[in-house]
Amino acid sequence: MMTKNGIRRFVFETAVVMLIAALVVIGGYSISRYEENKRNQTLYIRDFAPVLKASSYEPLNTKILKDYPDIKACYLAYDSEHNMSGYVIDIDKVTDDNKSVHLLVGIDYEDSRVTGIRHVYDGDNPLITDETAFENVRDCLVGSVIPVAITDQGTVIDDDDEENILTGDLRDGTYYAQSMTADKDGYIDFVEIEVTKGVITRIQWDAFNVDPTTKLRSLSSLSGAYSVSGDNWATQSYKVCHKMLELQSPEKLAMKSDGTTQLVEGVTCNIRKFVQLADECIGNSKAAFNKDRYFEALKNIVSRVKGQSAEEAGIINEDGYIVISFDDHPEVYTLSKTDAEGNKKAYAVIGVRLIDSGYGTADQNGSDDKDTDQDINDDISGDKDQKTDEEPDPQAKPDPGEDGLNGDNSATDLVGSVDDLPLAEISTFVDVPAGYYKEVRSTISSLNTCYKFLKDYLNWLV
Amino acid sequence: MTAPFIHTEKNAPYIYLTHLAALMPCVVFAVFAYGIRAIILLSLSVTGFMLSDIVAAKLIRRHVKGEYFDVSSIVSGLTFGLLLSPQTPVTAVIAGILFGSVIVKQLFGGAGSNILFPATTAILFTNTVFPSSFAGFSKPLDNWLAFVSIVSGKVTSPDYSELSYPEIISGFAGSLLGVSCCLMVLIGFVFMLIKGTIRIYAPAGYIVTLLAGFPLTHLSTIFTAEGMHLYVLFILSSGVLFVAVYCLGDYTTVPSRPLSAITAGIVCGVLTIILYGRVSDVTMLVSPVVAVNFMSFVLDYFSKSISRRGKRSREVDLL
Amino acid sequence: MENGKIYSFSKGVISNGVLDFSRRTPFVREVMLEKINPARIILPMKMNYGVPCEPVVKKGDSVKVGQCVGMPKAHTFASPVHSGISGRVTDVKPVTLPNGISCMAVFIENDMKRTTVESIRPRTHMNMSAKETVAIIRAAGICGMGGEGIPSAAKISRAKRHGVTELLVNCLQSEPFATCDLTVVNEYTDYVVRGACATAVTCGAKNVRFLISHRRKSEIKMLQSAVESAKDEFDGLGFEICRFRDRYPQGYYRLVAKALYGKNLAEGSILEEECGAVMFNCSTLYAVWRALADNMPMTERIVSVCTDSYCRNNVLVPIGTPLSEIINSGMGTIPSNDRIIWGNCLTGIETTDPENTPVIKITSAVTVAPRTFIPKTPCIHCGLCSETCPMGLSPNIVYEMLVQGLSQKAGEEGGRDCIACGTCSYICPAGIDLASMIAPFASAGRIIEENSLLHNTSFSSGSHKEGEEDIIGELSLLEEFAEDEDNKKAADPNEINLPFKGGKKV
Repeated sequence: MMTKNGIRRFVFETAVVMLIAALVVIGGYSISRYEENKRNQTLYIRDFAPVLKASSYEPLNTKILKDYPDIKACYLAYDSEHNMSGYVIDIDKVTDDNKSVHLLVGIDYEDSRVTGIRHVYDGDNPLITDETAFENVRDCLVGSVIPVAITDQGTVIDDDDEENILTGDLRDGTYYAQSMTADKDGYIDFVEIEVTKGVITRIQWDAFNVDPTTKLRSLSSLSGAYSVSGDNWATQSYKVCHKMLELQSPEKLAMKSDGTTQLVEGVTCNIRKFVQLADECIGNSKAAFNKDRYFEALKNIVSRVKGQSAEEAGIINEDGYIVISFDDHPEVYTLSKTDAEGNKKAYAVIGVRLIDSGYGTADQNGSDDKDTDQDINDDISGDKDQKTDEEPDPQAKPDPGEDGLNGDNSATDLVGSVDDLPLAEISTFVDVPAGYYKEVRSTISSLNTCYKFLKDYLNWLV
Repeated sequence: MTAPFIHTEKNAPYIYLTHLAALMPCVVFAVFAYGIRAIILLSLSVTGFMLSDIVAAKLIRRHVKGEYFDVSSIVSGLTFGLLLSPQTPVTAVIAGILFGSVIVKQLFGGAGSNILFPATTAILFTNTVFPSSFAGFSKPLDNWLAFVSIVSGKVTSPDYSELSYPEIISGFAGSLLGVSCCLMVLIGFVFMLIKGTIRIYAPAGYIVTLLAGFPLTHLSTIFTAEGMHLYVLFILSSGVLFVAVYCLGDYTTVPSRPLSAITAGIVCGVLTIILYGRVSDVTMLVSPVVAVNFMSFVLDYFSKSISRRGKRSREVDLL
Repeated sequence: MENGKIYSFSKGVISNGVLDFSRRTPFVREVMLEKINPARIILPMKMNYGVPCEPVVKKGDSVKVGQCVGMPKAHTFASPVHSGISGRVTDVKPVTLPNGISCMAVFIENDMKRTTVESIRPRTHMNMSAKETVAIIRAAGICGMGGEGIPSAAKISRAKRHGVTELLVNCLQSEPFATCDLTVVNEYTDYVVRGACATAVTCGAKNVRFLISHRRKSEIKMLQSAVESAKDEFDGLGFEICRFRDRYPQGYYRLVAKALYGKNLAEGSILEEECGAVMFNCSTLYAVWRALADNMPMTERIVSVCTDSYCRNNVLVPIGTPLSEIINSGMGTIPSNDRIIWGNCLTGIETTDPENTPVIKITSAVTVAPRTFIPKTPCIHCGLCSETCPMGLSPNIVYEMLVQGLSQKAGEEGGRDCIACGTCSYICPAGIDLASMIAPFASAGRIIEENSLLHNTSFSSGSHKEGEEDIIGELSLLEEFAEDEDNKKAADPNEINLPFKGGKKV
């Protein structure tokens, strides 16, 4: 035994024993994994089936979970063919008043719909204490697509007064402005903003085409039909809008004279059109000239220059936009009058904007002129200063490469409204059953946390 | 040199080496299940026992004829390590080594002269001084790379009642480092059996006592599914098999004669049954072994007296 | 004549087959037997219990095969010594055997002619009295060849006195590697069986039991057929073959008693008294029949050459052959590093001078053992020695007491029961040589016992022809029986006529 051979043989035997042991351990491990999985599936199905029916569930391991301390676990749900059918998220949120809401939330894979919510009564200090309350909450939320917010009255009731005072002169509502002329590719840019409590909560910058068969610029850019240098136009548009939401003012975007900005990383396209249109929208907001009125005014002009209503002229496209480029309509120039100095001045006005006649010097201060508006007789309280520096398209055109417009940002979003989610991103607005505001609000908050997590996890562009 | 001129190959280093090799499956399991914590704890206890052996030998200048490396300390260290909870803090391990190796083994005269099995005594000591580190066990396969818990001694406790039988058999139940997998213990046992370096009397007495004693003490529940589950869990996964094979299979501290060895096994089993559920799992495992170690001399003496009854002259004392 | 039982002494634990060497070392059967005609032999005058003989040759004398070279002094307890070769006496000087016996020895140089003493020829008439038989056995110098070395004539007398009913033929050989007794059974089955019958009749035993390992199937078969053929010649004798477990040291009489009769022989008590049986080694019985049938004194024996690593064989050598001759013939050159052991490897004694160490009557094996490194550690109290000790001692405790000088206590622990089998030393994992401490202690207590035992046998050492010290010639001492045809009816009722039907050659 103590000979070299003996020792060698012994070592070999030991190695064999260890190998056998390792094999047995691994075998035992796989068996016990299988058993554990079986057991867990039973538990999962018991716990999760009420919120999301699936044939198997798997816990999700991702570092992102660490950023969401409220989320205790996330499970992927698979159907019998092992296709993803959704997520089950175990979330335990503590409200400001130190009450906990522990929920299991089922979310559909396809459309982010809430498939079910289950309340786990395990906290020391649960917010939802009885089944009726929870049923109410559940009934109002199940089926909605996350993220969720409470319809206006809820919010308004809450803190209307305070916040509106803070934000000054923007009026709540949706405001819209579109370019009067098409660019070289036939795109007509438009910007739409939404103001809530005096704060811009959503911005969308996109463009439709004079050619009805061409899709929105954002969609084209995503599909590759429209390209610009750098990121696709949709992304750039999204980023610009997002920045704008932060800054709340187009001036602060620091556009350079060539129409670009360095403030927004990754945006290389020409944003002049955006700045102009956003400015106009803000003006409209101040003037309480909302989107509907804008459309009405535009239609009026259209019928004036075309001699027929917009509907009759067939220039309202599928998406409801009025496709008109005044480049093609010299008639518009006749809608003018000579001002005191003898200059001809356009007097077609949409909201805060004078339709540029091209031959009249655009006088920004022509507030007086507005009185002369024929059709559009709104109280334009606004300062007209805004729009005059709007350059005609020529400037947009010169930068051909860059200002591709892409707009997958169909939902331009806004910061700071609901659970740090821009209102624009909110998919569903729900009404609160009477008496359960707090419960619903907390649940929604949980749902939105789930949304944020999933967004992070799935890298949703929005 | 006088007769005999041949000598068995099963000399002391060989016996300890086979015991060491037989422990290897449990080491494999521990490392697989608990990862880096297991490696740290096991290597710490092995080096601790070895170092104390070497230092003690140096200090008291005990010279042993024939140079050879004392494997027994490695065996003790490894047994000790495998009986630790995965969360045992390092300080507790060191305390255990100091007590088990230095006090129990070296002060009693070193390898072979100790009357107590150093590993179990050290575990008992550790458990007494640091009871919190054995309060619960972490789930195997969690945090393979985490070893923070062995610094902080943080514990959790997995739920055994849900485990299925295959899981119990494969040992991934969450327990002490290396004792929960009955298959590993069996591999080690078979290895020693093939090598002929284990005495099966004490282990057999122990296991049979447990097999019979557990149902007897749980008559009301044993026929239910839960009772049966508990029974199987107790026999296969609680570490009694490990204790049977590696602690009661020890040559030095367990009575050698069949009669006394079986008695020792039975006593050990009865004590275990009595302690079951009343003290922590670890205490339940190791304290009967220590008790039996104390008994072994007495048991050996009596069994010898019985075998030579009638031949002992009583006058000796007068001389 | 054979029952299914397998006997053995009971041992609670037979750990790891320690006591079962034969399983581990199958004997190479092809190399069965080899005769060696050595260049010279050394014949010590004391090979067994008793006192040395007197050399009856002197330097320069020529001797023949079978010639008596050593005669017991008158009124002494000794066995005569015969030469196994023919040649010239080169020297008569004292030698010291490895076992410590110092005595005169006759050195004879072989002339390779193998001329024998005339009287050595097959006996034609086998009718003889028991007294004559004993006398022949005594004159032939036969003694226990299994290692005990008690002169057979003495043993027979003692057995007769105790009125034994059974004769046990000890064919149990369980020492590692050694198979000389089994070879004897294998090669000279008829001689062994007839020798057994003759001895049984001489002792007055009615039963002959052959004790043999249950693994030795072919030997058992041969014994059975030999018994069948011998049965008719010895009416009234019962035969039985007892199969034994192969377990060292099964052949020891106390262990046989334990196995066969279930009796624990106390130290000092004997088989004859307790069990009514007398036991002879099969080699001894072979020698007995050679003396009876061929008138051949004990001049040669079979010796096993044992080693655990290379070729093993059995050799038929004249008594007195130096170990070196045997080893050289068996395996060529001996690795210089190996130990040469006079005896088997468990109980033998190492010798450093194989040239001058002869095979004597009780030497059953010559062992060449490689020097192995045995790691020594302190006692680990494993209890293996107690587990394996065939006598049920606790060698570690006895050893410890002896080391501390507590011999009285050691005796209380049964230390004097030690039979020096060496198992404890073999098994000790710590490499402690227990037997070397305990065995001398035990035998020191036994010497007186043995001597008294022999003296009590009423064996009168002077029963040989007195005054034959002067007779120096080519005599084997068996001349007087050579053609002893007168079928003298013994007046003594104790005398028995052996109803031999004739000296069949086997």
